[in-house]
Amino acid sequence: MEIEKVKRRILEDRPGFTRQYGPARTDHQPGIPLIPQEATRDVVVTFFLIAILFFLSSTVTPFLGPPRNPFSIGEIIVPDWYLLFSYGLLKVSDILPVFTIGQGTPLETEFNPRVWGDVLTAIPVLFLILIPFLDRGRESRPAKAPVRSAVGLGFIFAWTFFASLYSIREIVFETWRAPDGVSPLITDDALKWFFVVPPILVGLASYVGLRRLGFQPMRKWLVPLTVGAALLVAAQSFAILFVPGWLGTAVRPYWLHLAAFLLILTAAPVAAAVAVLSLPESKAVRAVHWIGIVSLVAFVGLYAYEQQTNFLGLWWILSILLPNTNTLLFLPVFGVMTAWLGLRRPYSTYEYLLNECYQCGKCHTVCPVTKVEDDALGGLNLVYNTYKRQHDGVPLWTCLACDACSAVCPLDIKYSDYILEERARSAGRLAADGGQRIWR
Amino acid sequence: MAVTETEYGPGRTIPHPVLFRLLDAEADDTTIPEIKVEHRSEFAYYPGCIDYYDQEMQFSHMNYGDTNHGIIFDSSIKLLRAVGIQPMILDRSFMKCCGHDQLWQGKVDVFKRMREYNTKIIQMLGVKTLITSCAEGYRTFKLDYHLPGVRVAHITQILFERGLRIPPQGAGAKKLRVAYQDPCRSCRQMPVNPVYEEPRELIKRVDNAELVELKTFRADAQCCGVAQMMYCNDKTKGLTRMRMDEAVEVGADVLLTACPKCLTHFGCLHHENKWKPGEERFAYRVMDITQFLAESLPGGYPSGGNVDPKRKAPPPPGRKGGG
Amino acid sequence: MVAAPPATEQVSEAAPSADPLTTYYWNVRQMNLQVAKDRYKQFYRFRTQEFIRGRGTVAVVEEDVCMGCTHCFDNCAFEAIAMADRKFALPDYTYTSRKAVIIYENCVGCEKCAIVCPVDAITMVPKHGFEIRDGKMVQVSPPPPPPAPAPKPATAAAAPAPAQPGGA
Repeated sequence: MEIEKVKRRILEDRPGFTRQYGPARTDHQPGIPLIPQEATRDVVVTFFLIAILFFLSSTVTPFLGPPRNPFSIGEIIVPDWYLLFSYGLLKVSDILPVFTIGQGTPLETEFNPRVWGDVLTAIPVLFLILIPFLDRGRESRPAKAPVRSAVGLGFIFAWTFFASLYSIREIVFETWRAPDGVSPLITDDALKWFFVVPPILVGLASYVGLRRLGFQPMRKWLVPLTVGAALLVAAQSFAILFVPGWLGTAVRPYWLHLAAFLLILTAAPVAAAVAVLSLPESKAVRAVHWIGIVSLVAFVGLYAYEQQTNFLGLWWILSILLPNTNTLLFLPVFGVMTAWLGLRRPYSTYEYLLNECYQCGKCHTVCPVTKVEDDALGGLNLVYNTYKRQHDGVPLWTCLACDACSAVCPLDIKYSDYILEERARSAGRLAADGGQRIWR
Repeated sequence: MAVTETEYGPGRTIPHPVLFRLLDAEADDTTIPEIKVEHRSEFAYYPGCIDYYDQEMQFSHMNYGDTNHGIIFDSSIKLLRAVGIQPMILDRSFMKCCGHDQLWQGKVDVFKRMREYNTKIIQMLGVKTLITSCAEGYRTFKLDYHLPGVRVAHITQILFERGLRIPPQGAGAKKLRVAYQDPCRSCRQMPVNPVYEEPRELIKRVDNAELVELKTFRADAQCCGVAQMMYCNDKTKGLTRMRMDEAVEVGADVLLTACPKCLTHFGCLHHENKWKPGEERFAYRVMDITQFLAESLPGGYPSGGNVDPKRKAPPPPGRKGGG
Repeated sequence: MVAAPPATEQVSEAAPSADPLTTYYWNVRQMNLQVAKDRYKQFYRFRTQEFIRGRGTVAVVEEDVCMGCTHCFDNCAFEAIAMADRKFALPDYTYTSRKAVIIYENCVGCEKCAIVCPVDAITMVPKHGFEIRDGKMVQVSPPPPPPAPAPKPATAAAAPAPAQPGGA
């Protein structure tokens, strides 16, 4: 029956529908042929780049130092930066269980740390291989696929970074020693937790920020994350300072300086949480911005000051802060970052969508207002002209929002949504979130 | 047009008809009254602001059967009873306007107040199916309201699903060419459940009606000229006239629509056009599809109709009335 | 039957039938109608406070906003409004609409037209010779002299011409 076809969105070739609708569209846009156009272009560019290489190597030769002395092994040898993560995974494999499988058979394998290190290096490769199978949506823009992007940022950016950091753990241990001069300031266990905590925090913060680009109401994520981070940091600072037994005897004399650091570290996420909960959105954005800057400057300034005046005390203070990096240093940054990203509206979501337009002009043909309006100057539909400021201010209000343009747009851009938002904004209200406090 | 400066350059202000000042003033009062509905049902019919449109138009003497918005209410009740539904009526004494026009004019806070109020009442009354005869209401309740557990349906959808049967009109009935205008709000703007085919199927069931398609139809259909009551000026009237000219071109005897707003605009132009009788261009009737279907069913209107008994006939054109 | 039933057939007489459901629908319908009427009346009454009314004011129509709905024309009791044709022309499309035109001499400033105009195209402004001082309309200059009577046509030279001024 005809109605069934409409309901199943099979609308092609039906009278009254001008184009194919829905994700199963087959009206692909034509591209550029490979041969001869694209091939010629590629060959020309390749030769151009090789020519640059030749030129540089003949005129600006790199300086070679003396040959390496193989008997001096004073320094720690690490691979190139892009393989550091693998080296780090090798080093962290000592926490993994050792067992043997296939004992007695020709395929006997002992899973010792060496083997584990090899296996774990496959993780990033596996991740990249699995992406096309896990993410089946047709959305390619990062902001419109927040889960995939957050996992990608958290994993590729944070996890591999901290895995690489772990690979140079000996350098870290040597450079920063505890005040007793022997044991390292950041212990091995703390460094191992860096594999877990920062990627999760980065993933969460970026998810919140990316969802915001999609104009989602942020109450669900923003409030628990900022408030939770603030509470955790506050609880830990409180425990360190006031719960008897936490502060070692050696650190007591520097109690006040430690308190100053902890105050800055606690004040930042708490202030961000308060701003998120109680200020209207536009004010909260500015407030969080300034909270971040001020707390960063204060922290760095305090650190520099302590370094000048109270060098020994500074080491004791660091002996408390650095082992608790995951909570005391990462969480304040996380709290402020989440608030900042979650309140961002870097560009209106509809400008983002309208940028997809490739100016085919079909919307102009069907727009009814352009037929009667003598001051519709731009060549496209009213909404696009408004967006590109090619009009005299009239079209925003003249548009009927009848969506005839959206019906013919090959990119499925919904122009009436833009009209809704722009009208609400010019009437002094924010369409999403109502422009009110998040806590309503 | 009153010209104001907007950030894009010179722009226009929206005129504020009495209708909108009234609806916005209604939205200010957010206390929920005690509601006693004599007949409860899980089917609810929401008529919307159609009686207000009649009041707005009444001085133009349009309520004489040629354009009559309130009759949509009566027709809908008659049709729903014909398919066996006895709906509860969410009338305007305790509901507010759905807020569509306020939302699209940029007055989002007014819309939010209306939405909150209406949502509470709908949930309080335990409605399972919300039936509207207005395309803008359909879109608003479906897309802009959050009503979990409630199915929002346009009346033509319900009538089609329940198999409305229209008896033969008899041998003496004149053959009519019926044109149907697709409202943009319920067709193009609905990504799910657009209402394209149901009204057409229902029209086909009336045996003396022959459905003719206008020049642009379904997703191509040209807008009726004014949406969300944004303006009424020469240009929007020009658009309405272009659409009505399409009906003239196709030789329609009746022009049907599924949205009272479209009916308002067509009716306004239709009335204006009868000013100078010799020049009459639109020789067809304009009405809502519910009125058309209800007239094809036998019997009168169980709810009594809505035309003021004191108004017997329109005054001759060119004379002043008394108001 | 699709022919429009005459208006009287649609009129409600009294609540029909003992069927409670039909009575319910009848009641709800009439109540909804009455609600709309009452609220509109209230609002029109409310609007009487918005303009300045009186013998020193005259109505002014903003032609761009006027949409030719004839509400004002229908309500004016002093024949002070006429509807004039205005052509609206684009390169490939013309449309003739109507605009309200105020006849200055007849307008008494009762502001009925301003109240009923649905698009707020009509405002009341002080007449020539009047001003608003301290919120009141005062006459600051004497009324203009009555216009000279129209010249008589040659055939009616014998009959005395009643020289009634058009009023100020």
